[in-house]
Amino acid sequence: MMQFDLWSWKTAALSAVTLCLLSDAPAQSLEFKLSVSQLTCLRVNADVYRGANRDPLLIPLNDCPKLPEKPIFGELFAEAPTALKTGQNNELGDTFIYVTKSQFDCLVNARPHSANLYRFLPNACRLEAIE
Amino acid sequence: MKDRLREYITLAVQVIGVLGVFFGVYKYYSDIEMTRQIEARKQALSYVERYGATELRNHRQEALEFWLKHSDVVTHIRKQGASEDAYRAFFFAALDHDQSSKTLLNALYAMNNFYDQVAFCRESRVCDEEVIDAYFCENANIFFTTYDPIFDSLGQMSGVADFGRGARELAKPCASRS
Repeated sequence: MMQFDLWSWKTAALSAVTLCLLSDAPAQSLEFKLSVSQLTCLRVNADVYRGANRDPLLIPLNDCPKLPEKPIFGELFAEAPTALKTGQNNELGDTFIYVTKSQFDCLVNARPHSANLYRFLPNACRLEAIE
Repeated sequence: MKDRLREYITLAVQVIGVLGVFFGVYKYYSDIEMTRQIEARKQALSYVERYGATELRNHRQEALEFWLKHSDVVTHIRKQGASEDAYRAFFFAALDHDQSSKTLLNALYAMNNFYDQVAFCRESRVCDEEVIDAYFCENANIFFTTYDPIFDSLGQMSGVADFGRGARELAKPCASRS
């Protein structure tokens, strides 16, 4: 019984610390990588994305200039629940970006050194050439 | 002749006595082990019960609601995959724009804490390994794989070292199978 009480205290303390620290940004940098062709497509079709009726925007980079459709509820549960597997190599660019419209403007208006691959830091509104 | 018979009988009684002592000792430790196993199963089943109880069920529902709101991202990641960088950037951006972000984070902390407890119970052999693996391995694997890219960030935000360790340990038998 004592053991459960101890765990409950730990849970409560952890939750309290969590809620106090929620406003702090995670220390790891939050970034998307884009290839030059992906970035070019976004620039050319910027108005398509600016005109989308949602904010933030989910932009599947390899489907540019198409906007994604919300899946039908049934589709989500058509298959057994699976983990969202990540860890894909993004040395040729990510498969998507998720940005607000103002961050999107930063992205398409930025003019960094020309490169094959870029890093976009949405919170800092900065686009950097990588290679 | 009678003396020899008596010696045999005495020897037989001594052998039976020694065997009886050995059997008694064996039975004693066997009973202790059996009691330990029964207790370990009870402990493991108590965690199974907690997993299905209202509190954790609500936390899982809260996490599910977050993903339902971002069903297009779920569909995209299932079809095209995502790097850990992109996933992390999406997750924290989505939290920034989600009014129930605290609810979600609280749910993740509670579930992580629960998996830590289960893993500790399994490692210390207080809980039965077979029951724990059979019930929690797949669930822990889904939890661990889904949130692994953000565990470091959540650990840094909360000051918890090795965030997600419990889920990772519980998921190992399943991860090695898949």
